[in-house]
Amino acid sequence: MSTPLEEAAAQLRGRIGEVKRTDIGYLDPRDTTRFAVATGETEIRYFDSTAAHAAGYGSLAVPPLFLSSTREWGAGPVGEDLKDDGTTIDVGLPVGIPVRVLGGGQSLAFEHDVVAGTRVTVESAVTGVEKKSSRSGDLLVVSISRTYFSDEGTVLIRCQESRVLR
Amino acid sequence: MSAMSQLRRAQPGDVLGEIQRRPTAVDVFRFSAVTWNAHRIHYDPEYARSEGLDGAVVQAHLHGAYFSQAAQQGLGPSGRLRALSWRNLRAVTTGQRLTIRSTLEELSVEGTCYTARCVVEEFNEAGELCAVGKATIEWQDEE
Repeated sequence: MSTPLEEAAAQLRGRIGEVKRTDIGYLDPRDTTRFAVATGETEIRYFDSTAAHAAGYGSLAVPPLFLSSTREWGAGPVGEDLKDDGTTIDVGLPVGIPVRVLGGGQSLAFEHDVVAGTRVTVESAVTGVEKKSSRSGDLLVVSISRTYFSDEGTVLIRCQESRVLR
Repeated sequence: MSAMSQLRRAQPGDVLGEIQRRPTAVDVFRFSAVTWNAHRIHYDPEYARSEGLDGAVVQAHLHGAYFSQAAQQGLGPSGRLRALSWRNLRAVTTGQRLTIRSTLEELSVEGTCYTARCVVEEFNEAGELCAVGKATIEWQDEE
């Protein structure tokens, strides 16, 4: 009989190669400045479009971590459709298998300035599932790629994210 | 000496940026709200303890945002973060005072464009390393 972690590994390995494309929509300056406030950001280019223009941006600058930190771009599921731990369906999370999730980190390449008002699309995919042992037991490290594009097809940010499933 | 002059003369091992943060329960709640992240380990301490954590924990991405801020500190208008990677090494519960530091590893110059590769580290108040990574920043010589 397989463990939940083994079932999760099998399910997620089966998703490798599937690319999910999501239309994020236009980046709203209210959302990006709220993100800046919530992270304790003080750099003026993220709050003031005049300062952003002076710094060479086409419009209000978007904090570098805004896109890759946001977990859901639509309204998301209603409360009863969330998992017990509050998480939702995402490319790097197993469906119907009780596992615990922690963020592992990210590797980000910022290829173009991101500014408010840009329409953005993201392509997400599971790229790897690795079983590891730790002091607290076995775990899975799930690698997810996310590439963020502008409306014109320009790559804005490339992100490799890892999640730890226990 | 201006911040830009200091950056220009920086040597490997020099600290280029350092910030202090103390993410409270309210800060972490607001970060969950703006990222539409309903994961209970970030705002429900009892639930977090049921998962073996010491309490409600700071989001992985909030550590990343702190690194981006430390890496860009003092860069001036032309400064840009070009790359950032980090790994979370230990869970950080809310209320801990954190020191986030960016230390120069390598500086290169091409014309008026400076590129610095840095190590970024985050320590808790006990001096334990909580997250570590690398950042690449660029700026134009504006003086």
